[in-house]
Order: sequence, then C-alpha cells, then structure tokens
Amino acid sequence: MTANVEELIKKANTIYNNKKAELEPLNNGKYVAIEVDSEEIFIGETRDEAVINAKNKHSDKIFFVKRIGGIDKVAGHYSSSYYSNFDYARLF
Amino acid sequence: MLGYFDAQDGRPKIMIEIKGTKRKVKQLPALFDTGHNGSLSLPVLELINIGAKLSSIGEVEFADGISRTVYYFSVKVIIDGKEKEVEAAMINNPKATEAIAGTELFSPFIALVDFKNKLIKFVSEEELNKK
Repeated sequence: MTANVEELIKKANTIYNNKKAELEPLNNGKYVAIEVDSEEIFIGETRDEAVINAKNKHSDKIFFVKRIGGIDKVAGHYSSSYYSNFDYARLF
Repeated sequence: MLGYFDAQDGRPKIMIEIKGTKRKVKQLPALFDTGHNGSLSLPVLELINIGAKLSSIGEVEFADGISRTVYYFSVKVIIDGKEKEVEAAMINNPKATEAIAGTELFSPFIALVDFKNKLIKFVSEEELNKK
C-alpha cells in the first residue's frame, strides 16, 4: 500500500516511464490509469473511461491518471484568480 | 435538455443532479465552460455533502506553466434522466461555490447556443439530423 500522495505520484511516473514505449505515440491523447501496487495500467479514451476500466479490476484503489503523451492543461478553474476575475467574466 | 444564461451574472449554466456514496441526490446549477475539457469540477464542500469517494489523482498544468496535483472523486451525474459516472475534480479553492461542467460531461450530445433567446440546447446527433 502506498503511504502518501507524493509517493504514489512518484511510483506512478516511474511505471509510466517504464511503459512509455508501448504507450506513446500510439495512444497519445488517451488517458492511462495506473494502479501502483500491481503496476497495472488501464487505457481509456477519456479520464472517466480509464478509471472505470481500472475500477472493474481494482474497485477500492486510488489511481494515478495521466494523459498519454503530455499533461492536461487547464485555463485556471482551480486557481484563486479564476474566481476573483469574475467581475470580467468570460462567456466561452 | 436545456441550459440557460443566468439572469444575475449572465453566464451559461445548466441544472445537474449529483450523487456520491450517500443516497441523497443534490441538484445544483453548473457553469457550462467549453474551455474545460474534463467532465465536472466541484467545490470541496459539495463533494463532502454528497459523500463522494476519492478515486484518482492527476497532475494538471496551468496557463502560467505551473503544474499541480488535482484530486478526482467518483460522482454520479444525472443528466436528462440518465445516470453517468464521472471523475469530478475537486476545486481546491475556498472561495469556490459553484460547479463547473466541462465538455466531456455532455458527450455525445451536441450543444446549440441561442444567444438571442439566452438558451443552450443539448441535442443528440439523431435529433439534429431529423431537423
């Protein structure tokens, strides 16, 4: 069992890098859910799909999910500035 | 399925129903954000309220190039009477009070935005082809 989040991310990235040649570039843009204890990986077209595939085998585990071939980029939905800038709210 | 432009803040929203491990279903408005390619982002208190279970962790990169850890919870979303299981991202911001619905949540629907009547309509490909 992985002790903490930092360790889980570190282990997951090591597993990803070890399997990189079989994942990239064939599956670029898809998502991979990594179960760090068994070192199993589950691929999905979306994040939701990758996790559902992983849960079918490991229902109680917490997975590390990564976009294959890159990192998910966000405009700032999770940041403080996203909320404080709503005086100038964007529509789309 | 219909969305609307909120009369108070003018932003496009849709009413969704969410469910976690608890039986109760929570109805809440979600900001419809086409710039969000995930399914759903929820404030931490909403996740606690419905008893959502942590299911995955990911890393995302912000526009400023800084990457951060994001926690995702298993949430059932009821849209148009159908239940869909999604990975909802926790909005790690104490000021956040509203849900943000991303494009993946509405897949495979097609969104039609009517700026004149301030409505958003989600239709299936079949419905659209009939017209």
